[in-house]
Amino acid sequence: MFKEKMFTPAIPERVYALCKIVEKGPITASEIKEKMEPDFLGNKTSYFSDYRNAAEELGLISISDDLVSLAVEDKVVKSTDNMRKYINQQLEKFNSGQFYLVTNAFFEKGSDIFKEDKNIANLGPMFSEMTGMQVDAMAMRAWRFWASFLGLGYLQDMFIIPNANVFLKDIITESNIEKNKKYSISEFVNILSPKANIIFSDLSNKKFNYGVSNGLRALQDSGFLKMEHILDQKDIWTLYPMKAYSNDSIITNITIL
Amino acid sequence: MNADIAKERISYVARPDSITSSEGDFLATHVSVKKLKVLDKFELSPSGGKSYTEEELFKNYISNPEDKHQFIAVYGQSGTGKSHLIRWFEARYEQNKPKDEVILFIRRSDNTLKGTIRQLLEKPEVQDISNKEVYERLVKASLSVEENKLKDMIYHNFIIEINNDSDEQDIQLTTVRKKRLIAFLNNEVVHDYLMSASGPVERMYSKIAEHTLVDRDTVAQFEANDFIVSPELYDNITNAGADPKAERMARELMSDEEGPIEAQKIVNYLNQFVGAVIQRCAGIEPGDFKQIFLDIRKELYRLDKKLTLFIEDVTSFTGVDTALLDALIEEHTGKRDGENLCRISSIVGTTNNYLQNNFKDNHKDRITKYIYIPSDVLDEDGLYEFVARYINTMSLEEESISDWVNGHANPEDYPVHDIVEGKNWEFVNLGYNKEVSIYPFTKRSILYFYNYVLQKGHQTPRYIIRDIIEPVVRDAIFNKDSFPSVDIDVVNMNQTLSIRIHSQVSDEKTINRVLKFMSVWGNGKPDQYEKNGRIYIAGIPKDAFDDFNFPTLNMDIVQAPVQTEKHRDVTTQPAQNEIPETETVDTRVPLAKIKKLDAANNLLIRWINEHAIDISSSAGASGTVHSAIYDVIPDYLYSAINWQAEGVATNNAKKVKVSSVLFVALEGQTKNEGLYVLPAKWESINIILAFIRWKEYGNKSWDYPDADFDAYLITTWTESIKKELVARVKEYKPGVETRYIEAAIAGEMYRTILTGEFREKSLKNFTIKELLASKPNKNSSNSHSKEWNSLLSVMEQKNAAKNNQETVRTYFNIDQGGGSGVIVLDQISLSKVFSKVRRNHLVIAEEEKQSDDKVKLRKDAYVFLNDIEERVESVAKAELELGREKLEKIFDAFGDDEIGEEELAEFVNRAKRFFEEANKTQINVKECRLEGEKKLPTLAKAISDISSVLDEKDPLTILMAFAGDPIATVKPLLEFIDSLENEVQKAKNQIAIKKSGLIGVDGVEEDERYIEEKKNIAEYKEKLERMVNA
Repeated sequence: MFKEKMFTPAIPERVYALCKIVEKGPITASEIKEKMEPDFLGNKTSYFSDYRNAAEELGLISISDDLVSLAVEDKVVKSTDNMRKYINQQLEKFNSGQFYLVTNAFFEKGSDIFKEDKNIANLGPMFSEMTGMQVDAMAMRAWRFWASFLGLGYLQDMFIIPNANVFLKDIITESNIEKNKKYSISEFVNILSPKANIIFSDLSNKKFNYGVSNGLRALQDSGFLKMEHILDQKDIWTLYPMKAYSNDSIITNITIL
Repeated sequence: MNADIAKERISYVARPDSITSSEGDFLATHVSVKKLKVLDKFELSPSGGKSYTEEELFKNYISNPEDKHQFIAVYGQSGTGKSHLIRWFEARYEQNKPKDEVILFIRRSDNTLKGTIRQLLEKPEVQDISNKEVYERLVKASLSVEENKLKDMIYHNFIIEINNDSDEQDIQLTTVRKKRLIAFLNNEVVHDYLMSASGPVERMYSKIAEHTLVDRDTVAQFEANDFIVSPELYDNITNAGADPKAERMARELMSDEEGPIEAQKIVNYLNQFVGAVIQRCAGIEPGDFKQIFLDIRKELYRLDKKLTLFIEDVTSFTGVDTALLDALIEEHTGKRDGENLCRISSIVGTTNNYLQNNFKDNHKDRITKYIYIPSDVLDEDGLYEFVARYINTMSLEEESISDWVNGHANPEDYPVHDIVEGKNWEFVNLGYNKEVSIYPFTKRSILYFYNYVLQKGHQTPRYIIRDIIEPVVRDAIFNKDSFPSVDIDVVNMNQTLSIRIHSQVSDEKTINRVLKFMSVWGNGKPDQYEKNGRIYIAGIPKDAFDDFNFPTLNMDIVQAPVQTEKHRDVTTQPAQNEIPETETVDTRVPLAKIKKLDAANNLLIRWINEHAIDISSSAGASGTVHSAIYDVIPDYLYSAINWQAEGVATNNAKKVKVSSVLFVALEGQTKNEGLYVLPAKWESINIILAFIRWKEYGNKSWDYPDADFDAYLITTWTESIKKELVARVKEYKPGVETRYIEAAIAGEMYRTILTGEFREKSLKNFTIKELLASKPNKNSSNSHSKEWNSLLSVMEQKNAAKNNQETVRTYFNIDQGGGSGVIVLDQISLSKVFSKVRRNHLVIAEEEKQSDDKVKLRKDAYVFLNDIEERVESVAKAELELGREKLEKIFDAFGDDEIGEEELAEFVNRAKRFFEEANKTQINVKECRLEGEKKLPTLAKAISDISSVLDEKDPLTILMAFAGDPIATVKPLLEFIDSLENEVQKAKNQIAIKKSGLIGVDGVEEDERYIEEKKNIAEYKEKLERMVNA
């Protein structure tokens, strides 16, 4: 799912449910499958391997001699929020995988994504071109679940509206950024970058794309952080201009509140 | 403006009816009209052709340079300024008239019939006319009739006219229709309806009675609407017991198609009698009015005078209009009754409709010139000047105006008030360097009001005064702290401006004021620039903000525009179809959709003010908001929130979504509750409008101008309400988690037991597999009790069992957007809930039941379970009785109440032996076998199942004992027992018959066949006895 191609059945909630079973103790894969997809349900096909592989890729579980064990601390799977925070920390490991590349291209696309087809499954060709990797409809269907779950945007039917506020909050919370300390914008980006490059698309021009700008503004609106434009500062980044929000799109400093 | 003076003067100056204002105020507020048309033939709304100024018309026609007989009709829509123009012509002529000219100006301020005559007689030139005393007596004879009686007189006079109509009128009705109409008018309900305040009789009454206050343009005639019968009126007519003829007419008039046509026919017919009726009721004879005019003309001729007559409004002559027109049109060259008449030049004001419909063709043909005043008579500068002159006049003491008038009212002497308020506001040049501040208006606000507040057809001087100047000025001078408080719907509000204001001002009332001010008085843009040392915000000088104590606002600094204002002709723009220029306007969004948004926005603004809203209607603005709340927002939230990740089963979220409980409702919404209530605040409007724009502008996409901000708004909003909404969806009631799945599982477990899918005597072996694996019982018939089968029927009603089963099967499925049929279980949650239900023996404590859940589909789980629970006891009892009955029969047959496999085998063997013996002994019986003889263990189990619960009290245990339908299992045994008993009886009967053929030892019976044997036996017996005794 993350290393290479994406698979629709490998949805995050299934990964989580699998982890919760494994949390109780090592168990064979066939036993997990029997619990989650028992034969008596009469399913015509099995999805088990898809979400088991996703869990394994993400390092949530380890498999040895068909025995599946939890590979992370229990607290990681204590809640879906915790699991999300954990996964968001791992994404940079998969920077050549389909999920990573599509996500990066999606953020690079900015608000122009609104001009594209409303069904994300039909955007395979566009993302194939942008990523240089073959992306089909199934992959895009899979991508939407994870993009939504990981807080990169909001699912609306078959479309994702970019707004990375939840992802950004996870990355900031898990970073060593101090609260109530005024960081220059470059410092801030440098701290986040190792974990958040997946959503940054225009670092060289010091511009935050639409989805990231939405995320930062949403976090400011919720009182999580404060963005400032201090006039004498030369370290400048620019948010996606949105006049209705503010006539000033320049940020020089950020403080986590 | 000088507010102190204006407070006193506004009531006198800002009068929509120009004629009622003083001469000075009239002249001081007069704006030269430049777009007048002159025609030789009547046209309803002429377009094109040359336009004339009022001065040109005065010189060419009104001043009558050729001194000829003429009749000039001045017409235009109501309120366009006909009276004003005629008054101006009169005033202008008064200053330049020849010595022998008598000017008669007939106002409509006293526009009753007698009032009009009185005005004529008051003229000094006609003091010596013949018959004056008679006329004066006529006018002075006050009507002593009470209002109601007079109205009744009018009403019944029409009936009298119809009754006496001898078909001499132009328009006729058949005798039958006339009778129907009379019956209709005589109906009490119809009478009251037509006599109502807005009815035709009131209109006519106003032309007869003095001192009535009615619309000056009221025409005393019937209108088609007066005779349209609504269903309610029809019901009232019939309920009151109408004459069949009246009822027939009412029915005709109620018809959607024919009704309006029929009504118009009646109106045309009745209007022929209006003149006669009005005159009769006013106590004037038909010839009186005409005679008065002729007498006046004769008198003037005698005095060697000529007459110029200005009639402000000929509609005031309804009733005598024909006679009046005859008198005016008559030229002085002809002789009448051998007497000379003076020359007459008539300038008569009338509305388009009146001229079209009430002037007969012979009158129209003799009209010398038609002067047409278009509705949009003022151009942009004229509009500003119009407002400026009113503001100036009301800011001046009456004496200043009088002095100016007395000094010949020269424009160069026109007085300008000393500015107290509005020194830094916009000015309008009135010529001769007369600069007048238009405070409390800006030019832009005047245009805005003209284009968007005045209705179509009301863009006339009268309504500019009534609906713009007076309310806004009053607002500014009497209500300054709340200015502008006038109710204006902002058209195509600039969202960025709105947001910028909200981010800087917290008080909602102030926000509304500022927003309105900047949108209507200013250009609606969140811009600020400096020009010539002055700061302009939204195009308005900052001083103007200060004058009304608006808070200081920071807007986007922009370059000052090179040209301040683009001059336009207000009349050349399609006023009602143009949207004010704001940066959000984009040609990609159709105008109709922008208007739809505006309407929704206005509705929502009212919601903010009133904290209540009715969006139950799916039409209009309500429909637009309704769609957002009932469809767009729920659909969005359902997909945007990861319900499963938030710990909410998709099944639950979906049930809530389709329920009558909305995800999000509006504060004070009249119908339907919401789990999250959007407060009546501006922020909520932004959210709702964003969704509406998504639907309307983007056709369900975010591809429209400024969609990027809308998308930001709604996603950020989603995050802000997610926690609360998720919590509400999880809840049945505040603080109580929904647990309908427990009821659903209990119900499903009952179902599997009652349908025989689970046949164990204990729940111990009831596992998740039994719960979820579908293995329907294929038996089409069973041997359960009537009560058992009745319960099964109840469970099947409205697909209840199937729906409940679906709930159980899908509740724990971790689905992928509903796109797959494969079930992947959340096993841990499932086990937890299932174990609890099983552990509690399917019992849900009464206090834990959520049978009044507002989410119907969740409540259905409890309804289903309740339907079962309230019947299980009687079902168990009935089933047990049936089982007991069957079992006793078996016990009787076996002579034992402990029957196991062994006993059954023995029984079967004994039966077999019986049939073998019978065969041997040639007893004729029909051999029968136990059906399923080889399934004795099953039979034994069935007997055991039943007997094990004979003393059981727990209904569930009893149901489980009977789940496998043991009665059906023992049925073959019971049949076998029946058959066996039957055959045994038959054997017994045969043996008895055989026995009867034998002679008993007692010699009672004798059978020929054994005589020898019996003899031998007796002989041997005797021998043996002897041997023994020997």
